[in-house]
Amino acid sequence: MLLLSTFLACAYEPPLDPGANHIDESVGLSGDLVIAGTGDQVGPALIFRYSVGDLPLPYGFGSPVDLSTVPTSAWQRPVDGGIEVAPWSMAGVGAGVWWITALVDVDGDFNPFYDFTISATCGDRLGAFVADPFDPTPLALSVGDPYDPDSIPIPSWVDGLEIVVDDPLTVERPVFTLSAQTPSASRTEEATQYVVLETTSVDHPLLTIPESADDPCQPDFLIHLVDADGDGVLDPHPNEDFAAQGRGDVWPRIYGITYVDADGQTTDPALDPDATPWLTELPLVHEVWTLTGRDPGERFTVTDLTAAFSQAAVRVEPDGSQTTFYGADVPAGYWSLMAVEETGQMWRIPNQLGVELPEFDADAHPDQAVALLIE
Amino acid sequence: MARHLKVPALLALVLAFGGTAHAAPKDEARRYFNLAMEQVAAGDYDVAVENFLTAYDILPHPAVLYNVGRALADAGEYEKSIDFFTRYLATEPIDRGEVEGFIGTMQARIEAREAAIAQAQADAEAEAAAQAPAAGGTATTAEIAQLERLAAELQALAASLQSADPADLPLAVGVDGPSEPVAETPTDPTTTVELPPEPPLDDALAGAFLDPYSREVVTASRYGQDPLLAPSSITVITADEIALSGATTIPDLLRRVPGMDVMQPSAGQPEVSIRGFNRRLSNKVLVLIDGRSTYADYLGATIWGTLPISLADIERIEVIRGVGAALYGASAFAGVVNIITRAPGDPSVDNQITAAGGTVGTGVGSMVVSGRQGALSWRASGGAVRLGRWATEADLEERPDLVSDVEDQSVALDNRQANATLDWRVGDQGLVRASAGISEAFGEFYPLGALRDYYYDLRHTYVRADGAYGPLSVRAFWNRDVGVAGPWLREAGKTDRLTSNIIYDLYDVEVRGDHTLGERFTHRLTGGVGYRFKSTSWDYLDQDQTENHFSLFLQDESTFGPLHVHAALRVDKHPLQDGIQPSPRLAAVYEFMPGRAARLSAGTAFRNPTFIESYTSLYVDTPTTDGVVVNTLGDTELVPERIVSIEAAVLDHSSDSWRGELAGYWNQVDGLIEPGDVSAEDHQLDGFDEDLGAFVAGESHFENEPGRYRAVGAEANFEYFGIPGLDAYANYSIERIWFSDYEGTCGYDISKTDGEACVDTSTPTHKLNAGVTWRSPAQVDVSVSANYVSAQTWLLRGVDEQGQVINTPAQVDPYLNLTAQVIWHPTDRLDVSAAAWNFPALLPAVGAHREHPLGQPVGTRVTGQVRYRF
Repeated sequence: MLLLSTFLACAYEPPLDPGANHIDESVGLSGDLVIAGTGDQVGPALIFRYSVGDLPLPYGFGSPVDLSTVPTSAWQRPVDGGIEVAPWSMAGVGAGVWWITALVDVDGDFNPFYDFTISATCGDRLGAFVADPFDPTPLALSVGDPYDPDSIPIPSWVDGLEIVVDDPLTVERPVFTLSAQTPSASRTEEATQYVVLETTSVDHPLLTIPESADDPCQPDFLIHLVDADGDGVLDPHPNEDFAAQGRGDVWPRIYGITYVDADGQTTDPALDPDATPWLTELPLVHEVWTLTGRDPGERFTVTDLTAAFSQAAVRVEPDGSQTTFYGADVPAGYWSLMAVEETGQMWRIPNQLGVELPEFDADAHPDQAVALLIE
Repeated sequence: MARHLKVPALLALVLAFGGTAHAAPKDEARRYFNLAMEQVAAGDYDVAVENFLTAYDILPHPAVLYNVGRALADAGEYEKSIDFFTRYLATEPIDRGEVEGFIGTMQARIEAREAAIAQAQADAEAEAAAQAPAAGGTATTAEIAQLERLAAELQALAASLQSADPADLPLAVGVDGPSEPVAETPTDPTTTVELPPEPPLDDALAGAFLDPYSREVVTASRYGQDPLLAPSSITVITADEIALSGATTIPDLLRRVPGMDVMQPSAGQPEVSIRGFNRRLSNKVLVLIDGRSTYADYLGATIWGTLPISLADIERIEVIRGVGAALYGASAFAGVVNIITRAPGDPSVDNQITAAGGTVGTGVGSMVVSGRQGALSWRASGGAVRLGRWATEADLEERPDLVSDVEDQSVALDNRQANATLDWRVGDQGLVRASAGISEAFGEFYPLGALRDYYYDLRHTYVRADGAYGPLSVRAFWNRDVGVAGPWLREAGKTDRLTSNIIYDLYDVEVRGDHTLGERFTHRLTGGVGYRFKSTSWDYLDQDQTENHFSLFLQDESTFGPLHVHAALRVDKHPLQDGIQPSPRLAAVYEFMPGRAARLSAGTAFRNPTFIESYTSLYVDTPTTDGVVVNTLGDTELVPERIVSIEAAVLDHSSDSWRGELAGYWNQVDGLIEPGDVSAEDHQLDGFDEDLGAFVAGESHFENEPGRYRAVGAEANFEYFGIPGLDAYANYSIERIWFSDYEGTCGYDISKTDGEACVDTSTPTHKLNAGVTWRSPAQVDVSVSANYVSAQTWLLRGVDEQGQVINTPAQVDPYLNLTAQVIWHPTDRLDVSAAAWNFPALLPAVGAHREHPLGQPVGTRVTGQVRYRF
């Protein structure tokens, strides 16, 4: 009896519980980075994942939810010649609809830890997982949507996703400061108030400095007078209010973001994750370029530009909803300014070169500590 | 005639190597043995022999044959005595020469007796002849025939005595004590012959009586002593208790020890501590095998699954609760577990082969053989243990997002091991031992900090040599671990930064001496010097590292009648520490009544920073970002963790039916070494690291916690063995640990607080163990044991999306582990058993429990075992 019970006991093998310490189910993505453009300059590649609800510049103001990397050594030219490719992968992708983009940091100056090094610089290559190699707009990748038959199921591993990498960027970020004449603006002033942005030279070990004035990678503003329909007329600003004011569709975009409120508390989500930001766009005053013979559809660089303070601001709620406020309802305080090129390249002041990083010797870059005072 | 219990010198040597015999229902056998000794002292030899043989029946041991022979010799029963000594010699004892000499002495006495009888007979015949003419004749033919018949009967009786089982001998017949020997003349039953006086037999045999059932321990003072008089709280788990426990691993056996903290995140690596401070990869207890350290200094833990022994190899386990650094140096912080294996050639232990299988992927097999030939004795063993995981982290067949280097996802431990030991006795005073072992072990464990389920695949080997001559001994050994370890599961496509190769070597040599001074007031002096070389090549370290360690210890046990004062001091030199590390211990044991004692002791201990804590340079991914890592760094400026301990205890070992102990202690612990917070330092400026393929967000150093722990606890232990065949034990431990920083506030980690008090809640407050075994007359043994542990709250270290360290409280519910085993002995050599470990988990209302928040749900393990002794 003892033996029988023993062997019966040995024969019973309960199934293993697969949930000992549950590792969240996810999707792994992998494929190749493929150079679709010209040239063979490569470097470490950064693969970003964005939520389509929070798209990156220039489509939105989102931050990546994940970052993976590809070292320079991973780039290989196929034995039979052709363009260089590098394998990439990203693990732990959860449910959602995602954009996958890439930055090939050819000059090696990308750094995710500082706000002045997170944008592509001249010579870098941008890329994305796209549907059409000739359309740089990223393709949304659905993961874990049970109602979408095309959605990638969780868990799974998907290989063969090609990220198409474009030509090297030929322009530098618009490194700027504020003109000394325009440090403030009023919420209630009826007359149009202008803000003048000027490019500047910032010398810092983390920044690539143009070697000479002949270097094409100057930190200028890349102006694009958008004429998408090719009718020879500057397109109206996509924002109806601005269009009604006669503002045209001109790149770069200039944005104001609440930074420090009237009580001295930070309202910048980059500094306080719980902060609720306010956002406003300062449309560019483009007439000067029209007057100087620039044609719609043309791209050119300038070293200064003028934007109008619109006396309106959008409050972005945590749930993503937006409400527009005008005049006195616009919060007073210091606002940071951000210039965004149509390439997605960006510069913002104040930044860590001017504030918050004493090890950087903030006094060396006072022009990067400037903010716009809204009164 | 006064008789003193003495242990021969050679037996003491074996004790020094940890090979004394403790087996079976020892307490019960000892009760009869003690009775026998009292009867020997009273000169009641016939009853003494009867009780010796009863003890032998309960727990056979050659020393009992020796004692029976000795008692019969004292009673003047030389022929019977020689018979028992002959049987004793058949077991190849180490004191063969002495015993043979003793037998020779007895044979000489027998011959002398016979000569005296013959002379008396001749004298009687001469006298009869002288008287015959006067009486009118010589001896008649009938008288001569009667004498010849009587002589033949005596010879037949002698032959039957020599061939009979000693247990069946009519031992009480004619044994009336050591009065002057007399012999009856064959010619006239009413006439006696005065034999010449015989010298005391003690002069002919160095050792009078052997005590095979003594409760001697060797770990508390590094020599054999009664645990009543030991300077530390000590628990012994015997081979019999192991056999009856139903346990499959050593840590499971340790659960029954009062004050012991045993948790099982995985069956592959249970974690063991004493009096608190347990954790993943527990590092506060020094685990020894026959005095050889098994501490993996590169990691700071005992990797139980790599130990190259099986349960069948173990003679007993001695557990010292409390600081042990005064004798053992670093890492004997919270206590010492000394696993003592069976002595080579021990005639009291059968060779055996064991096979077991059970649920949850359990499989155990082992074989132990031992023998002795002249001055040589040997033991060889081999075995395998396989334990399945209680649960998997994920089903890989359904998780293409995960990868693993582990082929069989269901295995928690897979160990195959072999051992060999060879003893060579050199004369009466010397012993040389050579031993070696190897284990190929795959196991699962849960490492530190934010790291989760890991595996190891290691080959552990050791080579050891011991030598002893008189009071001097030398021990040298070499430990080596070679293999690989890494995360059990990884996210597919993610860079594997954590799988690593390990080569670890440890060379240790120690010379030790032992000397006793004085007679009425004695000092037993023990001292030694040691050297240890460690070498580690491990991918987790910044580079290959070596360390040289030196040590010196001195110990004195002063005995002033019933008062025993133990004073010990050890100094250790660590290459990274300034100066030396002193570890003093002072203990006073007062035996206020026979078998009852009170003990007060104080001491300190330390734990040196390990290789991983001193030299690590390991890049760990942040949890949400593939391309950003944190550099975990060792710190060569770390200071050792230190503990100061004061303990008071009362022990009652006076009864032959029960034993009780009560101990209370206060501990103060400083400088625990833990991974620190993440600091950005200058790493973020460095940008992308091409070699790493990642950005370095910052670094986290191992650091000494800036605070102090104070612990207060008590342990009560009671054992009952008054009913033949029945043993029971129960013990209870209560402990509370408080934490404060050096500013007197509880600010270091708010989640360690419990209300207003700063309580370390990861140590259970209450632990209760109880068990009973019944060796029934019906060839069936039954044992049941219980292990209750109260609730705990652990802090789980993690890293948030910003790369900052966060600690999240996690609860462990109270749990009760009940284990039962039934053993059937169909023959004297065969055991068949079935055991259910943690069987309440089978009940849906109870289910499996966790012993650590990250650990697997611990269920029931049902095993069946067959053991054959030969």
